[in-house]
Amino acid sequence: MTPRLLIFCLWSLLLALGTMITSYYAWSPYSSEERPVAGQSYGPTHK
Amino acid sequence: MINCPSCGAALPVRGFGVPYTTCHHCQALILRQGQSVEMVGKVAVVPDDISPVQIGTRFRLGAEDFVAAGRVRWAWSGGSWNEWLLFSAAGRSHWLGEAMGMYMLTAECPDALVDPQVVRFAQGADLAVGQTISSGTTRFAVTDIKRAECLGGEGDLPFPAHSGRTMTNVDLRGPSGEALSLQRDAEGTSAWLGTWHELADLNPSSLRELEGWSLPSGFPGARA
Amino acid sequence: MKRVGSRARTIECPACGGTLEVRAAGWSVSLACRYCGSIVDVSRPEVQIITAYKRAEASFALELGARGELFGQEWQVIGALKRRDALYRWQEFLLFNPYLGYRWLVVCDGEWQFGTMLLDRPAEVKKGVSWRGTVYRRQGQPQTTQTEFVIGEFYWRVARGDKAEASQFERGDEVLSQELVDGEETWTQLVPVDGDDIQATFAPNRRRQPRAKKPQGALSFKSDYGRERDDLPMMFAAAFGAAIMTLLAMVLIAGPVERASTQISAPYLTTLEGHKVGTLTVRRPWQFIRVRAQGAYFDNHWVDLDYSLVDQATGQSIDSYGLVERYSGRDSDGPWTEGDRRADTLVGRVPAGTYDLYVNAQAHSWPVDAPPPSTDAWADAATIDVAIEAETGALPWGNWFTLVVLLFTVPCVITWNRWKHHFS
Repeated sequence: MTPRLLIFCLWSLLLALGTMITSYYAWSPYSSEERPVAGQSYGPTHK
Repeated sequence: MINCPSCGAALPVRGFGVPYTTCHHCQALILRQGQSVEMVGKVAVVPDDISPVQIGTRFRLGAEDFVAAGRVRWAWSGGSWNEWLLFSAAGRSHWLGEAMGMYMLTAECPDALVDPQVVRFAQGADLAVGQTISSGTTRFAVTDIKRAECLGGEGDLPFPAHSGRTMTNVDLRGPSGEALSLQRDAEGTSAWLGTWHELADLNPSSLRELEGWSLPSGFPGARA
Repeated sequence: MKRVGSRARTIECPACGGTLEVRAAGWSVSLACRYCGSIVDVSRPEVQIITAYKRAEASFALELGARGELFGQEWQVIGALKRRDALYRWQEFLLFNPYLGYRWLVVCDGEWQFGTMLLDRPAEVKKGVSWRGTVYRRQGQPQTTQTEFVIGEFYWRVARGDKAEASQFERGDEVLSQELVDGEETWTQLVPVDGDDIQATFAPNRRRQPRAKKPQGALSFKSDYGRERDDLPMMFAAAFGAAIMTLLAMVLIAGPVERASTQISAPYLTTLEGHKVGTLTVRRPWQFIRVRAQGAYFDNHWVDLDYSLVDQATGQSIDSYGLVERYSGRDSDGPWTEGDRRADTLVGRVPAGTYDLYVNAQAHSWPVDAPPPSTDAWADAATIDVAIEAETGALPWGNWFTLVVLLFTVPCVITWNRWKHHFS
């Protein structure tokens, strides 16, 4: 096992644990927050 | 038997028909022409080195036998090396280059002198690293160019090895590791083709005894 | 006519005056003083100083001048180098025997190797090189190695800070090492030697053997010189395993799923207020609730959806929103469409409890100031139908995809570097 593989496995474990903990607390950076101020950003952005 | 015209010491006659020899007593550089013997200068003492080769060392490669008859020591900006003049039993001359503990045995290769770039080099033009030349059907690439200066010589020599004598040495490599070297000096340009060997591969005998070292196994005359 | 070679030549260090032996006189080009570290030119009879240093480092595993027997031949240590690359430090010793030439001893992390310079150049083949009919596989990427410190004598112009590009090719425990310096390459064959044999023959000082530097930070992701096995497949496997394991754990953690759904008709101009989607119970301390809205067919309209999760016990509400939209048109590039008639809303951090989910909805047309042409059958429709479905125990897919990206970045970057190197 090379040192960097070991480091990588630790990194993977850390990420996996972090993701499980955020799952437990039902936290996500992608969950919907406050709705944007009305009248903004509606309609197509197509030019 | 001839005697040194300078100090009168007896000079060994090895009979290889080379014009120059040196006196190991007084460092006289002697030109022999027929029966006449003329002192043409002095050679510098070759600085003592660790080389296990000496004048009289014999080699055998394949079915050919060689004997060392003379040596020139050259220096360049990156160090110095020995060129040993060897004669084969057939009387052909060879140079044995000694550097980095390895040996390059070369024979003259007139074929390489035909290449137009070598002709220009012989006329004084420069070659550049990476340039290729052909000799027969083989293409060689220039790997190294050295301007060398003679530090001294001993034994029988084909040219007067005055210290300060200079030459340009161009090393070339073939596709299968063949080594070609071009040497240009005041007298002309010659081409030498050879291969690298370790000393043991050359089956040397009459090697110089070196204090503190015994002949390793695999060398003729080594203790079992 | 036999001449006996003199004892090793001795010189006086022009920097510190120390007496130094030149063991390979005539062959050695530079000598680094064992007392002061200064580098001296010994290629000519007149000794010249090249670089002066104040201090020599004495911590080499073998002493200069030490003799020992390896593979039945006697060798003397005449030069010693400390070298390093991004990850490792190691020591190299130049061995000398006037009849045999030069050899090397390399020690890294307590492992010893015996090196012989090749006289013939290995040929490049796929994935490695071929030497004397045997294929050696490339190990890792070329590494820049640097000479940190030298003492003793060498047959080339040695200097602290010398850099070389080194590559390694392996077959079993035998290694071919290629070093490139200013375009000139040298090849060395390295075979393992037993550390105990070295101990017995050269009597090295064991405490001074270099240890591998502990990987630090980003450096740990660089491949390590001389000992890299191909760890890339293992990295991909570890990343894959971690991703799958985490997904399973997330499903377990997400907890029981409850669903509620409804169908609404979103009116124009006015807001459909407080339409109840249903009741959901969060049975874990915390759960995600996902609300999925799917609009029926419409075009050039959007529908604002405001969700309120009202805790039956406290009356507190968690607010969120969704937006279903769809636009189309035609311009110089041809027809275009934009927007999604479907909207997923993930509500996080919902504490345990029973909730009523309400939705407010309002439809809008686009462009507001230019009503759609009357050929559009939906322009006149009074409402837009939207199906709404909510569930507890939802999975935060965004979290998982982020994990996957972070996991696979490392092996992918390594793969990319190899690939780039292979074709450059």
